[in-house]
Amino acid sequence: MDYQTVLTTCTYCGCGCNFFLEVLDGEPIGTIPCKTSPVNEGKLCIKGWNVHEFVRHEKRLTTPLLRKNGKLEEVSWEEALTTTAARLKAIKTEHGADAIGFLTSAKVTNEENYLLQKFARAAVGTNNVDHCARL
Amino acid sequence: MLQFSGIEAARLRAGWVSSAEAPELVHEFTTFIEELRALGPSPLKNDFRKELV
Amino acid sequence: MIDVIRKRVEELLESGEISGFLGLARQNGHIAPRLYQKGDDLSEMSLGDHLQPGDARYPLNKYLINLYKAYPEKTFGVLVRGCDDRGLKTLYTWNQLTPNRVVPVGITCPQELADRCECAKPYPDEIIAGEKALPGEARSVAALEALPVGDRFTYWMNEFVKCIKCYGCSNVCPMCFCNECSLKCDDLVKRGELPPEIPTFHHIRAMHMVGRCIDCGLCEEACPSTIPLRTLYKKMNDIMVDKFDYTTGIRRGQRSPLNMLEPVEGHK
Repeated sequence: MDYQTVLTTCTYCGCGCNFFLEVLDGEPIGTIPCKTSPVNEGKLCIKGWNVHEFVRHEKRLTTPLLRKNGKLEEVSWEEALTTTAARLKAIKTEHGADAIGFLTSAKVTNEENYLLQKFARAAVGTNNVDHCARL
Repeated sequence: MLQFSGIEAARLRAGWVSSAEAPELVHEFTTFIEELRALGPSPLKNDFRKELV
Repeated sequence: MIDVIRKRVEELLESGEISGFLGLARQNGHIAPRLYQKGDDLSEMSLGDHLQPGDARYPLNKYLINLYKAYPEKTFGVLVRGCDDRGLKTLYTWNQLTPNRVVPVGITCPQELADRCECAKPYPDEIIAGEKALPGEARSVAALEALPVGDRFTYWMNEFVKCIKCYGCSNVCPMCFCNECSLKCDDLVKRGELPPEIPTFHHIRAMHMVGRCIDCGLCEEACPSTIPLRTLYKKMNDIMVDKFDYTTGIRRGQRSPLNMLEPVEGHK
């Protein structure tokens, strides 16, 4: 019998609400808003309340998908990255760097978001960067 | 609970009328409609959401 | 007070009377629910007082139901205040828990908290630690009833319209255990409509809390729009006392009058 309440931050938006994930024998079974958090004071929105449900959701992507002949197919990371790099280069040469935009996510860490904007600005050369949490 | 929420008690009526008592049913309806007319339009018709959405 | 609770929990765990104790702990600067098992360090234990008494209460009974169902052969201890104790009794009646597999470890609430909650019984039946406080004076319902009917309507509608339909009130409620929820029934509450239809949404929930609401106030604490839900349910509980002389969770085994087909004593 292993029951843990793991303190974490909501990944849905930029507010940064704190909650505990109820984990019973390694499976997340519930969300408990953190009463002592100065951010959300024990309150959550509907997305936050149901956050434990997406963790093991069957529709989550586990491998990269590449659209081939109009159909999404599972491919290796190697193939996915090579294709992406080749397409980005081609678009940049043909239409310029500002033809490319980057959308980042609240579901990853600050450091990963930093890396993506750095990649956009330094490697590709565009300021077209946006984030789902820019409320 | 309706009263506590500020809805006049006279706006809700529960009556028991047998299926064999058509005139009583009609009477219930007509008197209730008259009473409601006297009360005026329901405050619930105001759109409280408009200002927010 | 906490030392008495620690000692009691240690005894219960050591003797094997319970397999786990569901209480609270101060961890990472926050107060969190925690399951203590035999041999666990009890030094981080908390009773839910963070900046002021009882400001970090959690619906432990609700989490207990999950553990109770996952481990049907085990007995659990749980930290209870007056409201949680009322909750336990009601959950026994509704067959969500059984008393022979739950050992409540009761604490009292200080007068300050009893007054803030306007709690009618700020202590559990069986007290392990603490002194009984006097019932908090009920003011919130009377204050609203003093308003003219039109003002009361405007007041409630302006509160209800703030609802963001987060379902926090039912998610946090230790008495909300239905598999099929009326608030998620498309015929009653239209999906995707925000704010929900008012006052219907809040009245549906109030009607379904009849005979269940134990007045713990966690719904109001969880409401991001600070709708005074507790006052609404307090009024509903007052009606139950007035019409049926029934207070939820005060007497073990007592069923809600609305769940009985037989006549209620003193009523036709």
